[in-house]
Amino acid sequence: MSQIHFEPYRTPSSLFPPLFWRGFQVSGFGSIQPAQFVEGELPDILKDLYPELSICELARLSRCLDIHHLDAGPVLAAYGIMDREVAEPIFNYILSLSDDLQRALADKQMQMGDYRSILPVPEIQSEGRQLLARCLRLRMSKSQLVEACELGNEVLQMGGFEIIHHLDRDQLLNALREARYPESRRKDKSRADATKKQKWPTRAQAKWSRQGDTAGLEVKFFVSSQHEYKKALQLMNDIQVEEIWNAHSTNK
Amino acid sequence: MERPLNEQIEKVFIHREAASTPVAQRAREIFSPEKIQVVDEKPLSTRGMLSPKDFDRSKRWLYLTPFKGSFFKQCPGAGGMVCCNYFVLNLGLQCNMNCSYCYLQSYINTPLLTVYTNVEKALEELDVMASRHPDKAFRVGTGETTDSLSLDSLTQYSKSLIQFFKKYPKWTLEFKTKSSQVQEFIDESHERNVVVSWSINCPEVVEREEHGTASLKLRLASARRVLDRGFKVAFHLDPMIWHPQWQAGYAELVDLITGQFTPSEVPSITVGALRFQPEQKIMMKERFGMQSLVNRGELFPTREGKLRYDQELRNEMFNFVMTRFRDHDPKWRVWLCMENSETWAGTYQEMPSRIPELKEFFSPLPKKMSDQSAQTSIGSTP
Repeated sequence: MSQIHFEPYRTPSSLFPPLFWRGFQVSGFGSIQPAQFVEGELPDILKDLYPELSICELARLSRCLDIHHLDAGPVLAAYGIMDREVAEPIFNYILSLSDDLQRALADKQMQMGDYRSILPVPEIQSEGRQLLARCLRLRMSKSQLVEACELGNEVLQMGGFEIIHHLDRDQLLNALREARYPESRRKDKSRADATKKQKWPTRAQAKWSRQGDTAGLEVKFFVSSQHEYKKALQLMNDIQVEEIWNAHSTNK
Repeated sequence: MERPLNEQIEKVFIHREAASTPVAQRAREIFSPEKIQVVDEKPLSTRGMLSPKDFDRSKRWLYLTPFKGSFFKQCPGAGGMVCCNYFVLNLGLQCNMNCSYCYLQSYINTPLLTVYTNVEKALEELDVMASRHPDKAFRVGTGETTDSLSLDSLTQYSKSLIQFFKKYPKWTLEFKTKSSQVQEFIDESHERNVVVSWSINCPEVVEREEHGTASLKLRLASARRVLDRGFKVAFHLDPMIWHPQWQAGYAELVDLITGQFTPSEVPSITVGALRFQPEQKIMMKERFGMQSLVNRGELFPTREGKLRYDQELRNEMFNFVMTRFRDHDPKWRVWLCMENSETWAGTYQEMPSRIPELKEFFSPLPKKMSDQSAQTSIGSTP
């Protein structure tokens, strides 16, 4: 008897009997309960047994079905994966990762779109895997992980990026952003530095900040009297804003 | 580089209902019989986005079919954008050219290069519009979901449309293209109400990003040909793409235009910068890799959801081009396309509705007309 055993993370209870479908064992691996035989379509049976599967589990299931010459298409479709052409390179990549990494990705509830964003092209797959492992070790959130891997893969393809192992999570993300957006980051950094050099009124906070496709000066200040307010405005008037905006051209 | 259609297209599917149309007959002359198949229904269908491979194939498999819906719809200028009132006539879906930045990559999910064979129905709809709004000077463009002219040797729609627009001299017909295909209509008589507009870019961008299109030199030569026959010409310098030598590249482009045309010959030049929907990024990376100037760009999410260059950089690029044109001759008129109010303000210190030359284009349409076009924009193919 062959087994469709793809090591799902959540298995039916150990009291659940081994189920056999057309000669394939589909559940109850290692169970001592008497075997039962089920009829019907494989996608329906699997959906009943495993209502939800992560993309990592689906990658293993798909490979298992391929080995037994069973059509994985309808099974994947039952789990919402319609396009095998898109899924196949993602599955291959997932299966090239260690069990631990697969589990960590599954725990983050990564969807196909997330994997599509972080999938490295074949030429940089080894480096892409290292970066992914590093990001997972740094306990990045899903959105941070997707951003970091997407940026990292792009940078790797554009000419290289060395993963510096002593960087913490924020430092690594910053380093990746800097490497991927060098011109904009340089410009923002010059202006941020120039902003810091200005003599801002006491209790005023000023920073150069980027909001999507625009960057600008963000100033926040607190005053507790009319007098303080007027004084703060006076001091604000003395700020050399042109030094901030011109900082980029002078620092080129 | 443009290639002959019979080299580009691998398969031709003709819907049985379209089999005796002039387009299908011409297809039989252009393509070898083994490529052609008459079908009773659309041969491929898709759910959701196309894979990169499917998208590539959709440029090589041609489908001739009647369009069952309504042809006429209003310009899709996206929310938040400053845009003009403009009517779009979709005579096909998908393009046989292959620009790396093309928005069709996130806009269509047709697995086939589709050409609608019943142009006469579109013309009937235009007649209805004319009878309902006899005083309105419509502007109609055909280059939204396909290039207006790159398949013209097959469709010859340029000729039918120009002939039709002779009835309505107040209306304007606009073709938008990156091809050099003007031979089908160059000898047609017209009412001087036809604008042939070319999307243009600097030579390096054409070479690296606009695959399968006519060279800049050929586009400009075609523009000269149609101008000499009394057609109007417009240029869309869009999308401007940042690259290390962008200033030299766009300076060369402006110099080429100003060296070959006068401001009165090309009264309208529009400029836009690279922009696309975030979901398009994956498709572009998979299809063109990170060596593409488009994929290497530093783009950021904007309020309206698209990715764009830093606003200050966009202003710098627009100002560079505008200044270069005006240094040649202050009479050159250059406008922004698909830009937000901040960029308009940054570039012109004015909104388009307050600029006398543009006021007419940005005045709202009568409400009924807008509603009607919105209701009739959904169609289907068999």
